[in-house]
Amino acid sequence: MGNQKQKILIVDDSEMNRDLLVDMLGDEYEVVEAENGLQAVAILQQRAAEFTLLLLDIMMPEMDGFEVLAYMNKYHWNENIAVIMISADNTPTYIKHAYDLGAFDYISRPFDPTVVHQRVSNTLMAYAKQRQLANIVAEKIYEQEKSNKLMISILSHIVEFRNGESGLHVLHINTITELLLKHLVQKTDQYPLTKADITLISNASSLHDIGKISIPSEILNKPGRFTEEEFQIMKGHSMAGADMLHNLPYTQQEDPLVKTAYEICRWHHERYDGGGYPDGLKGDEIPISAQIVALADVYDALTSERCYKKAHPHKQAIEMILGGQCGTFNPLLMECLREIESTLEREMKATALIGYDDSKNIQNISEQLHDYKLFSSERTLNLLSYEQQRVQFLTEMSNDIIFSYNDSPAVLTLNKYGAKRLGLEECIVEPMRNDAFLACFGKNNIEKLLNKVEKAKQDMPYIRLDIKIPEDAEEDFVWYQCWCKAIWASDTDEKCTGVVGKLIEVDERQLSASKEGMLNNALKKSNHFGTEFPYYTFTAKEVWHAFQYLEMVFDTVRLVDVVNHRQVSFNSEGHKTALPYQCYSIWDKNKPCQNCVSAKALETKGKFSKFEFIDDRTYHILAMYVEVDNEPYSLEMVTKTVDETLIEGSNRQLSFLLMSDYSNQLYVDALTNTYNRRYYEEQLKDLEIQAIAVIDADSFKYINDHYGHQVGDIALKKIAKALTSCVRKTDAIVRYGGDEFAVVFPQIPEEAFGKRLESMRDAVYQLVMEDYPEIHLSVSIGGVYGKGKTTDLFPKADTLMYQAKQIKNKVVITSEGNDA
Amino acid sequence: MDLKECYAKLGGDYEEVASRLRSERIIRKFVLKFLDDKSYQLLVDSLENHNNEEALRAAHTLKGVCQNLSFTRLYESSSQMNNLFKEGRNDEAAAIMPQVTSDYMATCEAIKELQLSEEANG
Repeated sequence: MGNQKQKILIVDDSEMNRDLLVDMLGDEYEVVEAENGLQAVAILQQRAAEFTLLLLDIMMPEMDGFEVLAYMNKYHWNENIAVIMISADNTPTYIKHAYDLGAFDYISRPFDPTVVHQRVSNTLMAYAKQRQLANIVAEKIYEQEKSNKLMISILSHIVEFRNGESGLHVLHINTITELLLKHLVQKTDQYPLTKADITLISNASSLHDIGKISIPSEILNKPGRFTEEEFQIMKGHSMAGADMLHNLPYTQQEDPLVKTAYEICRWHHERYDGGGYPDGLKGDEIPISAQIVALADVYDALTSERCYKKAHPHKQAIEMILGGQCGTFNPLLMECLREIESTLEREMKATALIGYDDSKNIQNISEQLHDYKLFSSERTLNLLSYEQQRVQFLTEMSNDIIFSYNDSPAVLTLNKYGAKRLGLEECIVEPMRNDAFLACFGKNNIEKLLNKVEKAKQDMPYIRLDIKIPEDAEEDFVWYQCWCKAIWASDTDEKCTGVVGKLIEVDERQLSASKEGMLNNALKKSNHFGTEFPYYTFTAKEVWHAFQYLEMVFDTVRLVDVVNHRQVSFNSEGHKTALPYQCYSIWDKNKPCQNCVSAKALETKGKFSKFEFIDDRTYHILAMYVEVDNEPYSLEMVTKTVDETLIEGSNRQLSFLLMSDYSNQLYVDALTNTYNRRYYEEQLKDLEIQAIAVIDADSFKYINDHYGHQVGDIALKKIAKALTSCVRKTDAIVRYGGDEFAVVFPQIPEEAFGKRLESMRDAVYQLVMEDYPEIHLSVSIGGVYGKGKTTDLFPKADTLMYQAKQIKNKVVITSEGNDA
Repeated sequence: MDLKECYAKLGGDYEEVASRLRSERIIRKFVLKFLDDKSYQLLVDSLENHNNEEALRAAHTLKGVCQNLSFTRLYESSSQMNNLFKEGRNDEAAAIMPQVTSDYMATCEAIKELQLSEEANG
């Protein structure tokens, strides 16, 4: 860490000025340059985490420095990146504006190297202190994140909140709950709540209405007044939510978050005087968590517009509550509400706009720690809403029937298209007791599928089944291929906890069409699933609006003019600008990507996806053919995959990948969590690389024969894990077949290559099989160093591996020079 | 011609730049680089296209570069232009262009002379 240079981003439209700064700072820091605000934001969107400091000019084309600061606030980049403004315009209003937007310091022209150095190093020191503080709380945050993940896993099963306003409602409840709690503990010590409790209750408050999923949507979204019966059904949601949590596996029920959420779900409609439901609890029989959420819920219901009513203004809502029009609440909480009234009004406005106000006050340590915590819980909500929107977008875009099923609570969700196509609800609770669902799929089909699901194993989770489904009310049937993947909550579970999948209509006409011409034609028109892909057409003005939405969902969205390798953008007026760099430069490349998904998308008018690796990061890119004012473009949507999601194979991410592009994405070997052979064939084979190693487990057949395949599998897993621990994320480990692995190094210095292979050999040699201490694991490694295509280097490495095998536990390397 | 003479010829403040940037090597490097700076050309183009917003930016950039290099004469005319544009007095700003152009040409000429004499000296 210590000897690594800190990275600085210099943003200035004048090359001369940038060069001067590079000259002054280049020795001590690693410097990256951007020539306008837009470029800077693009770079930060890709890799904000790498930078510690930004030197930012104000007046620039495309996007000025103030706008960059606004972005930094929006995405919270300025929490870890300090900003120093540079400009000749040191007029007070400019400077003040920059400080207001979170700039840390100011350098004016002409540049004086001593001043520049001093300011930069001072700023970095101040920020380093802040980071240290962040590290102090990191451990606690980690604990908290674990519970947050649990919350997400529950909530994400409910892919879509069925009444549209709930997304914001959840955020609001969260904010109000937290405000009330914080004020309550300041006011009195009657309720012994720690800061951790406050965070816990606020997090759990997000779950208060999950029971609504069991309420028929006609009632839920009914515009008018409820009848008595409808109201009774509606009231059932609090108990239903509690039951859902109660039915979670026992281990999860022990989680404090689930316990708190249970209280909130069940009792957030109780009233202090016993006039609420479902249990008619009185006074402090109602847990304080539920009392507070009840109050928050009432306030937000009043101030939000609903399908059956308009929004009440803040003041009026407060009066109605205090006047007892919404039932009786704890007098102490009423006092709290009155006292935080103005803060509440302000905060709610802020939540609606940005959500989080970042104040950067380094002196005030306690405030800092506190803000950090707040931020963490909010991030979870953002994460959740991103995930939902992402999945929602991808599933809605699809003309296939996409479904996900979760075991406990038993909920089946369909995408919009699927629900419409099958004439079913989008969300079916207890599908096995749902007559419409059973009638649609046929008991026979469902049993067949369930049978296959039951047999699915973690290393073989994929299921294919051809099924026949009645077409509308007609007696006709349509054939579907059903592709699914079983999902496990943890890798130790025997039984899977859910299934995700899609139904692809099989067109019989297409199958029977034997003429080649017709087939070719069909291929041209369709993507690789054989279903027609409806590409999007935009007018120039629509593009901007579409981007506003897409940018919330993806890490980067851009429109690529494939022929000219340019990235283009449209502003809200529909005016087009070609950005001043090549489309591949965001990947740090100086020539077009070899595997250009945009070119493929353009060629086929379809969509394609791939992975890109930069430094330690993995990006998933989805390219989709679109037309803007009849001009063809590729719309690229980039997602930064968090390392554990891809390599360590989180099921949730896989399910997302599965939905996005089934055949392209199944790249991870389920047993070893390394890449599979398919990945090698489709992504690595033709790459220009620097080095390759072929690794084979020694005496593996012996282990299999004498101890059985189960032990063999454990050994393979251990070996893969040991190998993985020795390489960088940029290197790709592939399970090439059986007990043979290949490691592809896109870039590596020669001496590091040798050391790494030795450390891999040693890491495996150090392994101990706990239950079979007599088994000694080792690998033989053949390595080739030298630039070339993966397929050309592989056989050479393979041969060397066999040489190494003569001795075992051995590395044999050759260097090819650079003649390739 | 040496660096000092070059500065004298283009109406710059050598003392200031030398005390600030210290190294003669660096000053020389950036002075020569000035010939590649595009802000003047951008200024010409944007005035031709009557794009005042871009002209303001170009004048601003040119001014900033001159400030960093202590090219006082060109700094003064470009700075004056920048200020007028900023106040929205676009016509008056455009009227200063001949002065900026002549200062720019003189600056470039001096630098080219420096370049030539350096090449001659190997």
